[in-house]
Amino acid sequence: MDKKTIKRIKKGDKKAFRTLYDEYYQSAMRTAVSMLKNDSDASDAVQETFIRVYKGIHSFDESKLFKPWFYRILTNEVRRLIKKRKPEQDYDQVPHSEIAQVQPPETDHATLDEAMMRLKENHREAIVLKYLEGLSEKEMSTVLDISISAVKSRLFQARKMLKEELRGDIHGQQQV
Amino acid sequence: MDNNKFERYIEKTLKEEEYKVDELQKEKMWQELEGQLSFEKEKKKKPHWIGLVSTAAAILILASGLLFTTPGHALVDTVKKWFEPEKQMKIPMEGSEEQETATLNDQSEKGYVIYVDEEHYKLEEHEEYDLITTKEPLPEQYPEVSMRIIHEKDQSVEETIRNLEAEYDLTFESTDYPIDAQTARTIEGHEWNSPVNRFYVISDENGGSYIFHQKYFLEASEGHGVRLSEMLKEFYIVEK
Repeated sequence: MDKKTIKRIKKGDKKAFRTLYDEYYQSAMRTAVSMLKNDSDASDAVQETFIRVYKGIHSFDESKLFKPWFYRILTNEVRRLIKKRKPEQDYDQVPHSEIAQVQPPETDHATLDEAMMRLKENHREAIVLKYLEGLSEKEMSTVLDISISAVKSRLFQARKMLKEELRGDIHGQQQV
Repeated sequence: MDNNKFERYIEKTLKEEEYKVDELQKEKMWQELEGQLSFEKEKKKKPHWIGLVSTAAAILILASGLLFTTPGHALVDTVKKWFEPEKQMKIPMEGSEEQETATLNDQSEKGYVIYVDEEHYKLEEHEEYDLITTKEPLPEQYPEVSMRIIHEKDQSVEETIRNLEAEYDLTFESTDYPIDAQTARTIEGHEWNSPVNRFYVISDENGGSYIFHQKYFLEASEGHGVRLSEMLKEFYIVEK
């Protein structure tokens, strides 16, 4: 997102905001769906994110990168929705055996998706931001509000847990 | 599978299924956003003669204003009458007190005045905010030290807090130091140079709000942190 467009949005320019919307809508939805595993919740999180981005853009420091700032708001919105969910709706709380019985994974993507569902929220966040959205560790430290070494450690733990989930539940479909 | 292979596997597999945008859903969301957000009205191009007449009218109004009253000057005079040009501030530093002279910075056009410890800091005006920062730039190994003053004219205290809470994942609470305000902070680590962000939000007494965003680092909490807060104590809202 270029500085000129940001400046125009700060002045209330609708066309400039639409440019931002077009540029970020798809990746925001993809991230939110990957983290929330629910289209309707993801849509709520993304809509609220754009509202907060527009209303809060005056406080955005133009000397910094826009992308991490945007993802920080999105991640916080996703977290807010997860907190709101009833405990039984959160995949973190569902026993592994129950999830595994829902539907056997058919593709690599489905297998990984199933395993991701069983990760803790902060591990899932880290995997999505790094491998799906391609954020650097520095950008992730801004988004997640933790140091770069904490990002590295979280990613390490997330990969370890994901590997374990895949080992435990693939039943021979995928050797990792 | 080794780590590199595993990382490639995650990336490739996650990106395997492209997220397909549902255009209808996207447009529906945009309409919702349009309904909820207030944008500037698009300016229609005026015929050339309107511009000329407006300029002439503006010159006339300005000229008559200068002849009879000078509201801007009157305001500055009033501010000068109300606020002394310099003030002595006592800064609590590590168990003792330091005496500093603070200078009146008249930002009454923006609805406030503040006393700045100009021996250590300066006030910079930016398009969307004012920034009190160190008079001399800090060596590059030090994180930023500053206090940003943002006037959210159309945003209530509650709305501002909601936005900041979402943006920084914070929870605000009431405080009476250095001023009566809602406050929250983040500390990014436990090292001497870990950045600290401290926010204060107050009402602008006209339906809007002011945000004071202080940035310093852990080791400077008792130094710059205190000095910035002591200056914040000397912030006054004035009528425009």
